Parts: sequence; structure tokens; C-alpha cells
Amino acid sequence: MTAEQIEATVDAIAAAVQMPIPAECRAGVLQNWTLMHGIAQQVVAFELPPDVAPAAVFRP
Amino acid sequence: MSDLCIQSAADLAQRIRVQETTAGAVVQAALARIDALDARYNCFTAVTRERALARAAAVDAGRASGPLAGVPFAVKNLFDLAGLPTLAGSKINRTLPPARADALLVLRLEAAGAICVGALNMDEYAYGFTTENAHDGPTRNPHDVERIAGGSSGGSAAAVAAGLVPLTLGSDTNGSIRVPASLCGVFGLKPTYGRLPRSGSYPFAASFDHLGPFARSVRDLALAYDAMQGPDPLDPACAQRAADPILPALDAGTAGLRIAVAGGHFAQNASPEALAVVSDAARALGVTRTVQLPEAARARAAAFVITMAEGGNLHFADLASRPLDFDPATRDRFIAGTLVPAHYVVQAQRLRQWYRQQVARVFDEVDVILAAATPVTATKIGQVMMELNGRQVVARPSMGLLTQPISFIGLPVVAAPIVRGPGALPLGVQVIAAPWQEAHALRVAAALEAAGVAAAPVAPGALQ
Repeated sequence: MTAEQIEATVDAIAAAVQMPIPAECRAGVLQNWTLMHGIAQQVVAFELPPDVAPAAVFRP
Repeated sequence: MSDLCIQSAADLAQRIRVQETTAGAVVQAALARIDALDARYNCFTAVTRERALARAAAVDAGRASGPLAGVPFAVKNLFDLAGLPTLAGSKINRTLPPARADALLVLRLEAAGAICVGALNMDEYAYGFTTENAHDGPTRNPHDVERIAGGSSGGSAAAVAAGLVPLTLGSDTNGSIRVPASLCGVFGLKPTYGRLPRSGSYPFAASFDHLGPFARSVRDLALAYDAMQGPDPLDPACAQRAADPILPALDAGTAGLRIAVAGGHFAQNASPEALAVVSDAARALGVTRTVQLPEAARARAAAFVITMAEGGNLHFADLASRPLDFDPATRDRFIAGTLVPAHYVVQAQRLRQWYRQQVARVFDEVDVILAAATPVTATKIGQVMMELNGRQVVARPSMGLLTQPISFIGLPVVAAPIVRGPGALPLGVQVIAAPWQEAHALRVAAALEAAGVAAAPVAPGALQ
């Protein structure tokens, strides 16, 4: 993603979840979202068999 | 200054038990040492003087007993202490009502006779590896006050390293016990995920939040750990297992334990000096074998994503309504965490399940794995970048490179400080065991300590 695409994506998600981004935070939020997005590619690029369930804890 | 302050918890409890000294004298000495030295290190955010003195009087009057009777301890300020707001390193929580009761682990330590003397500094909401807190100031490393103590349980590690108390509690989501233990040169225990209940502690990322002790000896870790075990129906992640005391087997040595060094990611992301302390530990234990934890870098990436998303979710309302009340060091990361796509988080949780299965196979072959706890020694306070094997990397997140792939799947770990040359800054190794095998990690750490390879003396500067 280009920097412009990332900025547009961050603004779109922020609008959807109603998270205002103050001017003081904008550069830092973009920087951190970009870092997260890059790191996440290692995760989503890894193929997992369909029978691998999420590991979140829940005991009814 | 009284020598009572720099003794181990086990020795203090023994001296009180045989009436060589009193709980009152021990607590008074700890309070005096905190008064004299804490301005230098900035470990404490609250000192519970009256509570501690009343408790000490009860111990001396025979109204409280136990294996830790009279031993002072302190807790990261995300543990509830009755009568105090639970800061969790934040400004926002200062306006919350005071806690009405102590956290469960505080209650359990006090049921064993220990005496809480205060609350300790941390990164805001535990999101950091440096304890450079904008609201309370940085905690300073007792081995070099120009350097970080590590985090997020920096106050907990530094208070032990400075000899202010022999025992503290902290939390570890991605390395927040093991990183400061390594940088401050003390022992730390992160038990198996779900072993110790978290009731009455402020959360960060519930998928990975663990609680555990710091101390200057393995025996003290074991004493505290045994006192805190047991089920808790109020913590949904708590495994509800019966206590499994380690102390009787602590000195069993390493006979029968298959030990290896972690290669791959853990070798590639450690500096030469961090690899050297792992080699020192391996040599002392007669270890020559290396094992690979498959996809450890991806595991670290998945831990990063889940942590960011869970942290952002937890603080969503405050981030939306009062973002400028957050520490600038955490604020922008937390806001970005509210914007993480679900696909990334769900895939990361599935990777966690897969990685757990892969690492379980490694533990079919070995019982204990050694790895460096931090890539480098403590960086300077305010330092943004650091060099790691010829690369310039951002210092704050990089301190967790070696701890995150381990807590990601909740493995029990002892962080053991390895003895280095005169003037060298501390570094620790992670002694990692299979789930529920804390005993293996503690036995190996005790063997390293007995061999003189691991030790956690009070920082020389704190003795002057």
C-alpha cells in the first residue's frame, strides 16, 4: 500500500468505528498503523489448514 | 543503612521466625531505604506505610504467620491495593474510585505473611518495554541511572535490583517481566498462562496477560510462586488447577532434564553479548543441542497484532473522548490499535493455535529451552533507535523480540540474570519450559544459581 492508500484506509476505518484522530496524533497513528500493517502481512501470508481454530479462551 | 534490606525473602522470614529480628524492624528498614533511595530510581508511585506497619505489628504479635511472615513486598501499580486508585501507569485512572479490596495475588502473599509496602511504576497501561512514564517519570536502572529499567514492570524489577524490597509482583503480556528482569539483573518468573489468577489487576491484552514475581534468588521466586498458586473462578483464563508446589523439588538439579538452546529467530535477533550469556548458561549446564521454534518471527508478529487490537479495544472509550490524557508514548499505538482489521486478528489467533501445536512437538524432544531474554543491555533513557547486529532498529518494540514468541503461547519462563564481568550491564536468559512445567524452569535456574553462573546481587550503586 502507498502512504496515500494507508492514509485513506485509516481514515475510512476510523470513520466507520467512530474513532476521531486528533491532529496531534495523526502522524503517530499513521506510523503505527503502517507498522502494524507491515507486520501483519507475515501473519496473513501464512497458509493455515481450515481445521486450525482461533486460540481465544472461552469456557461456557 | 540496615543490612536487613538486602537480604533474601527466605533469609528474612527465617530470621523473623527464630526471633533474631522482627517484622517491625524489617519493614521499618525497608521504608527507610525507600525514603532514602527511591528519589534516585523512581520505582514507587505509592508507599503504604501505615498499612505495612500495622501488618508488621500483627506478625510480631503472632496474629499473622506463614512462609513469608514479615517479608516486605511491593506491586506494579496495576494491582489493586485497597484504598488506592489502580493507576496502571495512567493519568486517566487517577480519577477512578480507590480499589475496595486487594488483588487476589496480594491477598495470597499476605496470607503467607508477606507485607505490602507500596505500588510501583510502569509503562502506561503496560504498553511498553521501557517504563519511561510521562505521568510519573522514568524508572531508572539501578545499575546505571542514565539507562532504562525495562518495562513494562520496570519499577518492580528496579526496586528489587536496588534492594528496596526483596520481592515484587509484575505482569507480563509480551515480555514485561522478562525484559526488565534482564535489564536490571534480577530473577523473574512468568508462569504458564492461566496458572496465576489475575483478579484485581488491570488488564492490557487478555489473551496474553500473565502475573508473576521478581526476586534476587530462585528460592524467593519459588516461595512467592507457591504462595500464589490456586484456582480462581473470577478469572476466565485461570486454569483452575490445584496448587503444584515447586519448593520441595527446587534443589533436585537438572538430572533427567533434556535442555537445548533456541536457534533461528532467537540467535538472529540477539547481540553478541546476549548470545554470550546464553552460551555461558549452556556451558554450565553441559548443553550442546540447538532446537528451532518453527515460525517464531511470525509468532512474534501475531502477538504484536493481537496485543495492539486488544489494547485499542480496551481503551476505546477514553481514546475517543480524551486521547490527550494518554501518555504520548502509548496514545498513538492505542488509537492505531482500534483500527486493526478483524482478518489480521483472527488469523493471528489461528496462528497461535498452530504454533502451540508445533512447539509442543519440540517439547516432545526437550524439557527446557534457553534463549536470551533481551537482544541487548539497557538502552539510554530517551533513546529512540538501537543497533542490533549491524541494523538500526526502533528500541522500544525491539526489546520484546525474544520474549514475544514465548508468551504468545503462554509457556512458563524464568528470566535468570547471568553473571558478567565487572562493570558490565546485566543481561538475562530465558529458561523456558513446556506448559505447566514451571518446576523444570525453576530447577534449571536454581542449578545455574548454585553454579554461580546466575546471580542477582543488589546493584553496586545502591549500596553506596
